[in-house]
Amino acid sequence: MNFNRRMNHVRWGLGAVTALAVLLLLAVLFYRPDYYTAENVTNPAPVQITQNTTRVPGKDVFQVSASIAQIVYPATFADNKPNAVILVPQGDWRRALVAANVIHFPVDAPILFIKENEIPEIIKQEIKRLDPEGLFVDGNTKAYIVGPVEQKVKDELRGMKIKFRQFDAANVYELAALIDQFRATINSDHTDMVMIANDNTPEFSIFSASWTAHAGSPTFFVSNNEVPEATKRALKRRAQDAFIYLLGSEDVISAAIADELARYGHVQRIPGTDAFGMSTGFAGYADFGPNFGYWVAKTIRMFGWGIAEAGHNFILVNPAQPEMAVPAGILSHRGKHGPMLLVQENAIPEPVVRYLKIVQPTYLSSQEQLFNFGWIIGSPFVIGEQVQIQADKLLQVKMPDSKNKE
Amino acid sequence: MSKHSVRVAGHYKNGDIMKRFGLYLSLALILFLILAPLVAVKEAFSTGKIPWVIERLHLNTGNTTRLAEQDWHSMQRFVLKQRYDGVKPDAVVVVDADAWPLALACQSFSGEPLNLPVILFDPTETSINEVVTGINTWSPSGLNEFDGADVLLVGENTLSLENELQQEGHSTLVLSSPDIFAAVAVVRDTLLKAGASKSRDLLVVGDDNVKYALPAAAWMARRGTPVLLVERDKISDATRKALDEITSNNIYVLAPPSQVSNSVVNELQKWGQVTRIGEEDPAAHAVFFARFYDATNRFGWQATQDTAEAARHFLLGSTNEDWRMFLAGVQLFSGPNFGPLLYTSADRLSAQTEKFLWSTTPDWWVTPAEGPFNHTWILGEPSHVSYAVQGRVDFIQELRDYLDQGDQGISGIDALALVWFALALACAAWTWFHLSTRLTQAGPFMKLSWMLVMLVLGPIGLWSYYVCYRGYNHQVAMGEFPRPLWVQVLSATLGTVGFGMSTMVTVAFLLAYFGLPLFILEGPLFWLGSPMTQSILWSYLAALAVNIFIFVPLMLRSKEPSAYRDTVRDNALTVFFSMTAISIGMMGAMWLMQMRGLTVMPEEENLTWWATVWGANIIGLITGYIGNWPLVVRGRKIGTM
Repeated sequence: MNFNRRMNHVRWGLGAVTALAVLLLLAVLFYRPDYYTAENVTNPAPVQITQNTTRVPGKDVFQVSASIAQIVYPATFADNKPNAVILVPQGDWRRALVAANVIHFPVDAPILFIKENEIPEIIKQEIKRLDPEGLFVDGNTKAYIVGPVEQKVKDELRGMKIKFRQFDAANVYELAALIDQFRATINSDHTDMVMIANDNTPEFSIFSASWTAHAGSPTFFVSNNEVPEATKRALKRRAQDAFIYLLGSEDVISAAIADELARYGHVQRIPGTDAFGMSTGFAGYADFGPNFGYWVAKTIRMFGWGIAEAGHNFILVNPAQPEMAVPAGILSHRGKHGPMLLVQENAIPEPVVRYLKIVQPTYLSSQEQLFNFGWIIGSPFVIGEQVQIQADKLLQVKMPDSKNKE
Repeated sequence: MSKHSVRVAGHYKNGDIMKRFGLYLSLALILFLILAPLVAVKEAFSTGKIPWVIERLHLNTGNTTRLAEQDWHSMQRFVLKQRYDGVKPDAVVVVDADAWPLALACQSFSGEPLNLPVILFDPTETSINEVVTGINTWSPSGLNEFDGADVLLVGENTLSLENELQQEGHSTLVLSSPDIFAAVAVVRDTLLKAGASKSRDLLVVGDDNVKYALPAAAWMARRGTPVLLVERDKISDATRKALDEITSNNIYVLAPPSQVSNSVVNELQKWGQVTRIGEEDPAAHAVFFARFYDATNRFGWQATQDTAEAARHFLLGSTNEDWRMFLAGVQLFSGPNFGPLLYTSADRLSAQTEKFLWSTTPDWWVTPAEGPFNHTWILGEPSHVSYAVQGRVDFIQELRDYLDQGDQGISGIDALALVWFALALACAAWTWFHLSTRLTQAGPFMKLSWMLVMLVLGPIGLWSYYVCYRGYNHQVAMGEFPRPLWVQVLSATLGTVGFGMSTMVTVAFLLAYFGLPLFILEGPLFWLGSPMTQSILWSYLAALAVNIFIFVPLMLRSKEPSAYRDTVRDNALTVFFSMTAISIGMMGAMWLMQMRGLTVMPEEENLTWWATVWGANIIGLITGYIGNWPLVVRGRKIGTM
């Protein structure tokens, strides 16, 4: 039987299929998707920008949280929108820090502050602008409420056709454990690397938000003199011993507490004596090693930024405003992932200056250069204009024999 | 429907209804497996709904900063403040804002080694007072190379400043000529005298269209390379004279042939090594220069994969932008930040620029914190370059995972998946024609089952088809035909694969599409509430049910003239074993790939999701084969396919 006779049976059919395939291919090649429908944007007041820093403005925590979401999600087409939003009733920085554990993939959502009894107008506007897609691993949920809210808030969300899930618990320790369990449910596994913070020392804790957003490691709380039951329970859930990183020196998290925590895993302290020094200590800290597995499916332990060279981004926050700082953690989740550093309203403390000088880029060539960059979180009343300018100088490339005299 | 199948209908009570249901279901499955992957294509292109008015508190994003100035005056104010606040330059250059060749030429003063502020001055619009006050604040010390002058006045229009400046105690040097070519040449001479461009690099641009010359500005602001001006078809005398001063230049002609003709380029060779850098489309022209690199002289930005370890700054402006806006803005790149200038349309990112930005976006290998990070500076308010363009640029510049290339990029995995899908469609089409024309005896469910096998297994399905029927031709319809054991096992496995795998894929997709269930549970069995476990559980149960209650009875009824209930009871356990064997491999592989192999669990709208599914199907076939072997050996199951 020759080829032509065989082909007789199928000639027309195959021809049609081929033609369809070619048509489809051409359609794909010549179709120009319109990513440019976001036309009417309001013209907001100018913000202070420098060559190496950008200020993320806002006069209160609501505005700042919206501002941060606007940095991360331009929302000009489907793929630069978030999957959901995380709504945190304002008033307790610990709640915000716990909520930061929702940010990481696959959730991919910014923290927005609300009031317990209502959603402020600016946040409603921001939810509309973000138009979250819905999280496919959780029934296309579009909002996560972290903490207690009144019925009105839920009604408002329903009115906006936003499907939500609420995390609420008796106290913040339980809340942390609950969200940990939520994340573990998504991954069918608990992350073995966890951080422990003292619930009285926001300045030693808030910078962990950027690592949580970047890597998905949760922060659990201890109080001054005990490890709460909920924290113990959360630590025990790990299939094996946890890797526990303490956010604080011995006067923040006592040796006795560290000793108790050691029952649940391997305890290490992030270096740094004061809070500013610890934020840079965390930025430079890296702990690599085995986690779990066999040679066919090994998982490694990789904790800490470990940044000691140029070419990175830093989020500058003022620990005096912990609730403003925590949502900025998401800046490490997308865009220029990098650690959070603490500054004061009118000064960059000495440990932070020293660290930024270590990682400051030097000029290489016109073709191959590394740059640093910084976000300044909050209005000039939170971080002053001069601090931004000083930060800019510390972040900029060191030029050789520049004739520009300072 | 063939006579054959009509004749045997009727063993079962309600056999026809069931048969019809089975037919529709399998047709639906086929249609689904063909169309569902196209959702990924649709999603890659779909742009979603955008609110009519977008309210923002600022106009910056993670990978872009907007220089939100409405005109070149405010841009100049902003940039000079950024660059020179608290700096004491040796001298200040003021240049006529009416003559672009001069203003462009002066950008070299802002580059190394001089790093002087360059002020655009328009006598009718710029406030003299503002300029003079600005210069007073800097209190430049003066340069010997400028005969001690601390202010350089370039172009005739700037002369109106001379008196005012001298009254304030400044010493001025005037560079001017009625002939624009000569004036540009004077600027170049002054630069050489001041020690700029020891490398003998020289840029040449055409005098006609400023768009083709502007990309040079960013480079000049960094490296201080001087520029000379030529006409399209002619080198003017003043330019010739300037060229004569140095005979071994490295000349880079930044112009396409429409701006500087080939004859001029040829003639320029008298004065050195000539390289043309030029494209007719302005956006492509800027991209060409951004990518260009001459390793001998280290000239050009080399924004290519060769410098993938480097971070990049870009200055992006509209092609229709006032050139003064560019020259005012580009001085932001005269200091510690620098990089190429790029063009776009105001309301749509130019295709060439988009392609270039995709190609320069860094990939990350170990962690997205490793960088490097690119950053684009958007020139002007949203009326100059739209917010939508900014959003697109931000998205394209976002660091991507090397393995899966993010949401819109096509990774190697995605490309393989696409090819696999095309092959699967082709296999299905071929098999359909072959079954319809060569194996007409095969029952309708047999045919549909083979279609589904092709769609879930692609070329491997086709290979199986070949192996199962090769050489048996017309005996196939009789059912019992001699095949080696390994082929019988394959055939038996495929019997479960066709409807089973396709049902599992379909259910898994639909669950993901409508949102997977998630239950937060306590205790060691918490993972039962996980979306992945739920997806596996429901798709497995659905496939089991469909096979046990619908397709196996339908496929067997022509061979086993027993009642429906008996067929179900007799085969349930066998189907359970076979299906479970397949699921273990398929779902296990899907779990490992989606949860462990990839950085981010893929969504059903991503091609990567399908890549993991098709990969998992092959693993499912292998474990299914192993599971079916003892069933066939013990006579519990026969290969019907």
